[in-house]
Amino acid sequence: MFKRSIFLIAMLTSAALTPLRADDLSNRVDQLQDQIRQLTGQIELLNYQVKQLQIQRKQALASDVLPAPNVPNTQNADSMASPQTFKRFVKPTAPSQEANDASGQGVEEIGDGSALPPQPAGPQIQQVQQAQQLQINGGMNPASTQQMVLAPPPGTLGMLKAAKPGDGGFQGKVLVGPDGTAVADDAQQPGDQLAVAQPASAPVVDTPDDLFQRNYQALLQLRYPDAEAGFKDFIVKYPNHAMVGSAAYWLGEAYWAEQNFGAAAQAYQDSYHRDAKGRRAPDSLLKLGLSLSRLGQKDQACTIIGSVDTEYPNAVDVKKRAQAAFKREGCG
Amino acid sequence: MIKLFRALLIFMVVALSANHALAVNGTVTSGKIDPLPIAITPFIANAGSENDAAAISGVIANDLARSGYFSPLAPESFIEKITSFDQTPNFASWSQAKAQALVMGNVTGSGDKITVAFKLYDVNTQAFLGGSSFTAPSKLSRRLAHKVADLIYNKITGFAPYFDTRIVYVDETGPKNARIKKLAMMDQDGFNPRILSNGKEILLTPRFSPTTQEITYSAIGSDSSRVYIYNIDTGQKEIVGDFKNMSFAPRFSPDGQKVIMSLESDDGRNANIYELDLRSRQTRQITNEPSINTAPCYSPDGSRIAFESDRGGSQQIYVMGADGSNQQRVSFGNGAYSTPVWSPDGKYLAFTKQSDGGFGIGIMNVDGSGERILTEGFHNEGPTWSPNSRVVMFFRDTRGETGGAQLWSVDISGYNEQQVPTADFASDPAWSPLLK
Amino acid sequence: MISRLAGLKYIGLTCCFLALAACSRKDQPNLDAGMNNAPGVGQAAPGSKADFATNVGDRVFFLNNQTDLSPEANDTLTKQANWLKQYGQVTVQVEGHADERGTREYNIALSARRATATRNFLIQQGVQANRISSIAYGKERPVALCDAEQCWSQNRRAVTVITGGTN
Repeated sequence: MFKRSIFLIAMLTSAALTPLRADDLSNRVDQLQDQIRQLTGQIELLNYQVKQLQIQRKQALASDVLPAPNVPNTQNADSMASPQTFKRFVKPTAPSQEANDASGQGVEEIGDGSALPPQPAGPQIQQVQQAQQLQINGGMNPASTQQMVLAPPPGTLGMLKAAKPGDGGFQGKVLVGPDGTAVADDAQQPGDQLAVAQPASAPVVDTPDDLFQRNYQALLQLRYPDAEAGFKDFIVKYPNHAMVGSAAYWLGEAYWAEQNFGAAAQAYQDSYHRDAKGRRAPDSLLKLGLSLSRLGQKDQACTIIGSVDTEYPNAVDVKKRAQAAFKREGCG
Repeated sequence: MIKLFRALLIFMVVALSANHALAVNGTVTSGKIDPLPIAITPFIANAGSENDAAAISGVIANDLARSGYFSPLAPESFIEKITSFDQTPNFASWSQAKAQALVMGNVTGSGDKITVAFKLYDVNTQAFLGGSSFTAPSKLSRRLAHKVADLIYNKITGFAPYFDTRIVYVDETGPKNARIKKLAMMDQDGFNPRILSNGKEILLTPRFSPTTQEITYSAIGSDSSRVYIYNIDTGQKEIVGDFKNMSFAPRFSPDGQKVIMSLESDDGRNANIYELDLRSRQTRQITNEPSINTAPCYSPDGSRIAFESDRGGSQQIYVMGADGSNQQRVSFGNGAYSTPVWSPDGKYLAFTKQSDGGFGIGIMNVDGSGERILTEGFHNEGPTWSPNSRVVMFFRDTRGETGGAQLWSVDISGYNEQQVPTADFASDPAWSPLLK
Repeated sequence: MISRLAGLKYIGLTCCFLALAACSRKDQPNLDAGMNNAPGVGQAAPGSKADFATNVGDRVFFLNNQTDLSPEANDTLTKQANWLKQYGQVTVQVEGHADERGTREYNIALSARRATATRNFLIQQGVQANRISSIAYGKERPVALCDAEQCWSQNRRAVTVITGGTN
């Protein structure tokens, strides 16, 4: 049906453009077939684009209904959250308002203990988000979800809390600053607010450290695609930089937060591979194991989680979390 | 450590199927695994088998090293000397030599038979991981070595074996404007090359049958291009199908009962895909389009066919049912896509991609998603899969009057690109299944 | 859309023409002999292979990935047809060729299209179909060996080769 109409179009246009000659029938068949192919190609591309749009639309709809855990959903925030929360996602066209919203806790200061995602306010939202998280995470992380339902601590909405202090790090939360300072789960205060995104016009300085810090800020501000692009950029640009292992680890954390466990696994492995003795290596190995577990590769996940112990006997904190994870993942 | 090594390998498979997160401009930037240090001790030989024993240890080390997953240690670094196959190794000494795995072997020859036995240990845990012995006519000692290497590879990586395989390809000699192109076959590692045709015809795109007993190829003679089947054991060849039009780009079906190929259309403008049943000699037309449809390849279960077509104005990859139903374009990236080859595990299509004036080799999911370019450059073409779906071999042409095609392989992670040694220029490789 | 394509083709043709002009400086004895009337014209015996190659021109060229006959190709083929009608006992084989910048299987079919377009033109001009066979060589027989468009454009060709009826 499509094809016939294409053929007709081709016939007509070609008849209009080419004066008829008695002796070049063969050439005209060639031209017609060529035109049909061009049009077929355009239709194929259009169909493909329509299909891609449909898929994107479906995904957008799905994320309206079920926001990913740990990723405060802008749509929900827009429609349900308090004005404070709403403004968080407004581009800084009104700096004065933003300044009011910012708590001044200085989340940009990596590792000062307040590096946490923004907190929507209001009890109704709390409940909704908890329920949604339960739906998604149930079965994957029973201990954590249970903990959260039984005793949701204030000020940690929008993200899963670790079952116990020191057992965290499995919920896509930024737990440790790049300088190695532990970001204590419980340090979060109810009034904490995420600082406002930097103005888009902020000058871009391209020293490796600046790039790293900018990406890390993007991560803290939950701008995951920015963080991902930035850390990838860092890894490509500075493959020999001392922080490259960390960059790959944070890249993994960004993917993890988006529940893109395949990409996360690859990034964690990359971190481990690039710097097996680095500061992020034990964490990377552990999170690689956990990512594989999310991907249904249980045997490999358990082997890897179990190996944190033996590979990094001195990484006390990570070891503890690995041991807890080993149990929780049912590695026996 | 070996357990962790093996567990880490899986991530690449997982990550590949999940997405291409670390792909920067479609090029793989991650996925490398540090190769496992392995000590392959000189195999112990009985009188008269010393040469075989040394050769076998060398073949094993070469196979493992070429896979990219192993780093065989130099024998000079060995502290302990293994003098008996029954000896219990001093694991502390092997650990000191930085070996993670240890291979001991024994070769006994009697008459024209040879027996190879080996044992594989995990140095750190001192665990015996496996061992076996094989016997064959002594002229097949290289194949025995490949078998041993296959078992070691499988035990440690968990991947299916692929060393005991062959490559059929086109041997190229003579000046670039008058190349002599002959049918040729060799072991996967480039050894034992055999030339199988006289070079009077321009021989192209040879592919193995599933039994590895026959090869189908096309050849341009003085009047046309025709598809042939060559029997390796008898050296006989026959024309496939009695077609007045040119036939080319053949490939066997997974059950070996059919050959699929392109036939030039009656008006000489186009080419469509046909299937010939080798028993009934019945021909069936699969595509019927006013365009060039070629390079067909069955899915491993025989239910679908991937092929390339310019029906949309440029070469793109399509997938259809084996009966021609439901023809769907799957390649939508930036460039022209061609020569799709289904991976033996059914998960991917390997392809040639022309973009920005270059020719790359890539793999994608069967629905066209998750494209990964494994290598790019001036001219890379014609991928083929190792039977375990881990390695892609292809040919790379080099520039200039003195340039020519050579065979290369690359891991599907995009790492470990290796040239496959051939005496002459070589093109159009096709990998055999694992030999029986 | 179509007029845009036509425009592109025109540009393409111009490029090809320039490339050919550049190439003709090189030592290419058979290349478009009809176009550069070199000394020696008329020395070949009328009706001979040399006459055909030198005074008529035995080949035509194509744009990248194209199989349309250009106006120049039409001129050359018209001369070929006239010559073949004059020497009615001569038989020919039209060889289709592609450049190296394509994949092997596709280039076989592409070069067959070129041979067909060429053969069809000769038939339309009145040469009997049974005097013209055709064959497709894909990218297997390049004539110009540099790695640049100036060579590739010479390799995208259809060559009319005399197979009988004269010497």
